[in-house]
Amino acid sequence: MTTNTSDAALAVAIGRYDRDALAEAYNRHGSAVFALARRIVRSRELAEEVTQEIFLRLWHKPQRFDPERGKLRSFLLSDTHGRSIDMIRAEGARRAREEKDAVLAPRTQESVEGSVWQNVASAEIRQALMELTEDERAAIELAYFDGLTYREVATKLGQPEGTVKSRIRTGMKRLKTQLTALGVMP
Amino acid sequence: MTPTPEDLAGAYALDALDDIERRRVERAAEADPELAAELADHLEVAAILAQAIETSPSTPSPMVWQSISDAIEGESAPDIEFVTPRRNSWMTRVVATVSVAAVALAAVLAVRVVDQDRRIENLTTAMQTDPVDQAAQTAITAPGSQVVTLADPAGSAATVQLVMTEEGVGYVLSDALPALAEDRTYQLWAIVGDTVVSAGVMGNDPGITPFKVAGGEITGFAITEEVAGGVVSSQNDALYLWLNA
Repeated sequence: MTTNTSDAALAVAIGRYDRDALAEAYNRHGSAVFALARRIVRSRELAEEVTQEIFLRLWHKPQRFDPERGKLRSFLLSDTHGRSIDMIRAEGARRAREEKDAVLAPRTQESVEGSVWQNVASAEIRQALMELTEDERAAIELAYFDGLTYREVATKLGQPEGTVKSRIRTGMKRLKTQLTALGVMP
Repeated sequence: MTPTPEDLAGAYALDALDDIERRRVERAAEADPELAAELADHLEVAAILAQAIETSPSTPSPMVWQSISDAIEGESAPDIEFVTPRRNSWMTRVVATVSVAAVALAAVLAVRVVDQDRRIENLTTAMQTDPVDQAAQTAITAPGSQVVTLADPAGSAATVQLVMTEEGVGYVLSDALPALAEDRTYQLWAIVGDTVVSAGVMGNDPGITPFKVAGGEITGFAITEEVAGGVVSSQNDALYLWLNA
């Protein structure tokens, strides 16, 4: 199994019970999976639990990845996001999280500085983000990285639900346009 | 006012919907390719955002991989179900039908099992002296080997022949297949019991292709066209199909 092996070939090899292929997938994407999980669940232990689950799920159900629909990394991160959200929405975790959030100041709008976006290393993606309004950035960040539903985002930002879901959708479309123009997306 | 599935598309990609809303969007997307495409775009954007965020330290402890490795250590044959859950898949149709009425399906799909003697004569005549060709030729004449013809389910006259030995080694005599674009490949599938497994990625312009299928009684073979590198489960129609009636 080489570092040049395609995502599709990796998945096929995993489907044939090739442990080296799973190891290669882990080497390529394990850190990204862990980083996203950790950002959402805010616990190293839980993030490692999520990471383990994601790769075991890939091992047992490799057919869930369809290379015609995107890259393996995107698939794994989408899976990671969903599993992390499930974890933090579990009642026990939610209570602990709310207690942690309670000590933070109420949140309204944020600029790129002082938010999760300040950690964006890619100049292209940072540039794309700058095309969004602050409201759009805040709504997307709260939904994606804090794991809130759009209704919870609306409550947190003190804005109507319809406005928030529109901002999320418009922001995502605008990001797609920008990322495409910058060559980050096809 | 209840939001439309389109209104919820962005929030869907961010996992920011409740379960009922998420299912509404998914059902709507099944019937609306435009919405499905928008969801795919949003999901790709979300994945890019996820990759863009750097947290430090972002490396899981070595124990994570060790745990994964330990978990799969005892699994010589993981419970992998290759039958795609999505509808409109030939795999689902084939497997479901094989389970209940293999004979009827064979008739419906006009499967043609060619007379073995005539096949062998034709095939050996066509064989070259390439080592793989020679191995295939040996397989064809070996006792217990079976030569089958995969037919076009759409009913055209096109066929592909395949030889399978008692040991589970086989050869697709695929040199008559038309070449595909470089980013495409033919892929061979074996139907083992009620499960469809990939038996090999054949390339875009295959000659004679060796393969091996281990374990279980083979009840059929199919060839599909896929993206280069192959897929784990196919969403495409079978170009050639043989079912053991």
